[in-house]
Amino acid sequence: MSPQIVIGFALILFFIGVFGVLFRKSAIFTLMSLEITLNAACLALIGAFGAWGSPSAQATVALVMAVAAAEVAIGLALIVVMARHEDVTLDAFTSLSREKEEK
Amino acid sequence: MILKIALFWIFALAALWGAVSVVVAKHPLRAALGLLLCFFSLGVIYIVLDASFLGIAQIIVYAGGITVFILMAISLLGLKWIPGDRDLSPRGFFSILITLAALFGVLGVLLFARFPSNRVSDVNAAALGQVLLGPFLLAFELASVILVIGMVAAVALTRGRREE
Repeated sequence: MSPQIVIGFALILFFIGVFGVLFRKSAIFTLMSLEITLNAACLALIGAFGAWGSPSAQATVALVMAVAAAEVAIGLALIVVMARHEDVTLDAFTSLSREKEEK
Repeated sequence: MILKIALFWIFALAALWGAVSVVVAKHPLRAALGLLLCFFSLGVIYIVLDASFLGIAQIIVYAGGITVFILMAISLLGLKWIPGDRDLSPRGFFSILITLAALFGVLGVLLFARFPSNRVSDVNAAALGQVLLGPFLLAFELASVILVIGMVAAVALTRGRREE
């Protein structure tokens, strides 16, 4: 499989994710679209591995997976906080501080 | 070889379908299932592209872990379709334009890129461990620190306020 095809496919997937981040207002959809962009970046690294053949690319993908797991944990925790305020759109939610909670 | 190419294209189409269904879905549960399809297909693509360990890790970590995590959050919080979730204002259409322009710009650059063609063999878990614990040792340790920080932050954010 030529690396150009793999990286081109990863680009299409990446921009689908970017479009999701820009187009949806609900936080859970934004989080899922972000996951798609991260996976597309991993796929581009695997495509580069197909061209250069160095195992460093695969080690980077393994590290990206660990960081993505932490990112999902914090993202879902924020969505839980947002759901407690009964509004899960990104436009309405700007503050984590206490003054906002007391309103 | 022909089997590999066929597998790549079949699962590439499946991954695209899953990704598009995440972006356009109405109900969050449908989007999460589309995400599951996308992750699983990407795992198969990794295996086809000589990254068998990462393919299995992708299926276990993403399809088995993160998607279930998201599904649990959606079900427990009762998230549903919000009217006006899709941004149909002029800003939303502007986002379509920006995305398409950036996509074709980078694809155009990719057309003129030159890639070396080295002989690639599958990287197994032992070879990956040699790299992770050799040149990538600092990054590997930092990743574990980031995981612990993420865990503590998730607990601290979701914990209810203490009664004073």
